[in-house]
Amino acid sequence: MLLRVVVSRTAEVQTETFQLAGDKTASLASHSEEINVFVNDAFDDPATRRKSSLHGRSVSVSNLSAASQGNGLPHTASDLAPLTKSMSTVTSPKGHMLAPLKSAATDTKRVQSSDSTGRKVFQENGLDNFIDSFKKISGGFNSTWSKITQGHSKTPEAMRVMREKRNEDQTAQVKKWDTLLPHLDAKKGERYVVEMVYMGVPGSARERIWKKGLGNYLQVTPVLYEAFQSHAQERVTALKEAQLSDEEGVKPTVRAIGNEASLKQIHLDLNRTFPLLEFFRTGGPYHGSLRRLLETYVCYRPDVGYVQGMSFLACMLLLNMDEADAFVCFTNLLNRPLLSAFYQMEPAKSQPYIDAFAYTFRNHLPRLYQHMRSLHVSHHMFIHEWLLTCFSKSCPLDTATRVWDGFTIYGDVFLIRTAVGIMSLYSKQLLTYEFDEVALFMTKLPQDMDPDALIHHIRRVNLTPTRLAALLAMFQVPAK
Amino acid sequence: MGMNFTQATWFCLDVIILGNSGVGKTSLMNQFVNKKFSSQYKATIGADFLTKEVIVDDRVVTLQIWDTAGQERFQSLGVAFYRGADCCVLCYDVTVNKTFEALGSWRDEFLIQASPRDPDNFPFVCLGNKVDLDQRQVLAQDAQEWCESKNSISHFETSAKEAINVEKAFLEISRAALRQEAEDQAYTNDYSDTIKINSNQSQPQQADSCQC
Repeated sequence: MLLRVVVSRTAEVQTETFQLAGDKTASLASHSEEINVFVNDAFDDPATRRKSSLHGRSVSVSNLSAASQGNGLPHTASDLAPLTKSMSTVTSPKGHMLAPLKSAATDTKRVQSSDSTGRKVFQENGLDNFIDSFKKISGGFNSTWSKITQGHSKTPEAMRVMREKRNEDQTAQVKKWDTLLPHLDAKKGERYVVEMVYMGVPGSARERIWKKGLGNYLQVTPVLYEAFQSHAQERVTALKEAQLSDEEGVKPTVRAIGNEASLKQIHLDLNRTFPLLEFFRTGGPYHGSLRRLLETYVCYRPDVGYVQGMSFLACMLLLNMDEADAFVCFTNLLNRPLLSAFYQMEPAKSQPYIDAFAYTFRNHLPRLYQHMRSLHVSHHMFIHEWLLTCFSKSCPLDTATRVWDGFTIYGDVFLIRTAVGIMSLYSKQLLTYEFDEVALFMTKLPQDMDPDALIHHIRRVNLTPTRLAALLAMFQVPAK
Repeated sequence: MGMNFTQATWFCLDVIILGNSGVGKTSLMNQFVNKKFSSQYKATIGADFLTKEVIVDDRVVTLQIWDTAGQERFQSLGVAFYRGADCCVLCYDVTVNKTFEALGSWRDEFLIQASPRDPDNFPFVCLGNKVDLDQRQVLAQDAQEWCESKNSISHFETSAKEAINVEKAFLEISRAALRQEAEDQAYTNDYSDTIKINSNQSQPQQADSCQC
């Protein structure tokens, strides 16, 4: 049995072909499939690291002989499990279980292809030509092959297929997540959990997962929400009256504390947050909830107040949970370092994050970074919107939701990785753009952005929480 | 000096739109560029961007229009967008007095952060939007007077919804921006001439590249 394994690293795609020991892959005998063994790159956990020799690589396996027969049958993720397992336990890719094809290739007897044309070309011209001729002769598998040879683009498709298969079995997925949830904090660094998150959490369990991921460090309770909410309503009325009497020349008795005056901004934004959804517009079912949640937050944190962008965050939560729970999550969300820094609207506090993004962007996509630099495109023109709204304004809702799956669990580092991931996803076209095209594109991202494609690019961005912390320390603006 | 630049020069003019939240900055920009109005624009966070090619005095120029977040607190992020602007558009809502009263501070903030070479003569254009609505609070005459007092800023009353005066206002904006850009270039050329003589280096001519 011949297997082609594509090993991808962050920046380039390397292709290595292996001969897999026959008995290990018996379950794949008549199938053709790509599988992805993603190895967690996001966490600096040496324990996790040691577990896998294929660390940081995406491995895609395709059964050549079966594919060339054109009888590849779809099979379930569980069918692939034995192979996945065997791959990940290999101690060396060139060890005893996986023999490099180069040495085995001369032994044509081992190539079980029934297609003589394909085999012949393969023998004569090597692997690349074999792939080319194979593409020509097996129309049915064209897409699979072009995906493998293109390296980067194969994975989103494979992911989508796998996710769709998993979605058919929602209850099993939910069960899996519910078993995991109590131990989420301890296990979130493990590879299978990372993979579960990348795959997207099941919709019916999203509320529980986001709540657990965001945690409740602030110990805000729904009862506290009720209390603050009634307080907020009184305050809103009092401030409105004070404003009216001020306009009539009477000295107001009530004064706005801190940024309480920002309450006025809320009603301007309600109809301008997810306007196409209708839910939050005047008369929509969540219009009142959104207003109350934001007003209550201003009274809870008058020092921060309401800042444009918050309404998008609140909507993302309200779309997934009830008002009181959304408030608990909202306060904890805004308490996270990145958002807390950005919403204080002090450039000295948010700048280190923007620099950390720029640094990661430069390392990950040096050509695009240089291109944008030479065009004088500043990342300031889009990064504020992206991070302030955690991509909920900039990306289509399904994509934003998948990003939030990662963000709620893995925190700020996931936002920076997403920002670089978006650059990476569109780098090819951005490299051909001039200033105005780049600026237009970045301020109006395509609304057909494929969540799987984005996740695929996010996972290649090499930024760990430890590294982010180091970058933030490096870019910290010294206090005056 | 003045407008005696070569015909081959292609101009990119940067225009920035400022004003309180909800006065219709995004709507004005979209009405001008796309000739349509929508009640479904999202609130602008950070900045938005559109471009349009216009013909000003028989010259084709590209306008790069920057639309900004209206909440005052976003002013601290302004520097990144204000720098290099060739014209600043100050917007208010004729039905909300406060948005008009805020124009002074928007203008001051712009001048501080953009720090143009000649602040007294930097071109501003003032737009009173939403004239299609009935509940007017700001009289045209008051606005006109304020504009006169600030070195004769051009003033227009517009409606992004009904496309009233939008085209006319942006033509004036383009003209003002072009004048500013031409003066900036004349200044830069004078300056680089001096360098040229002193250092005996030839300056690269940017005849067919975008001057932004």
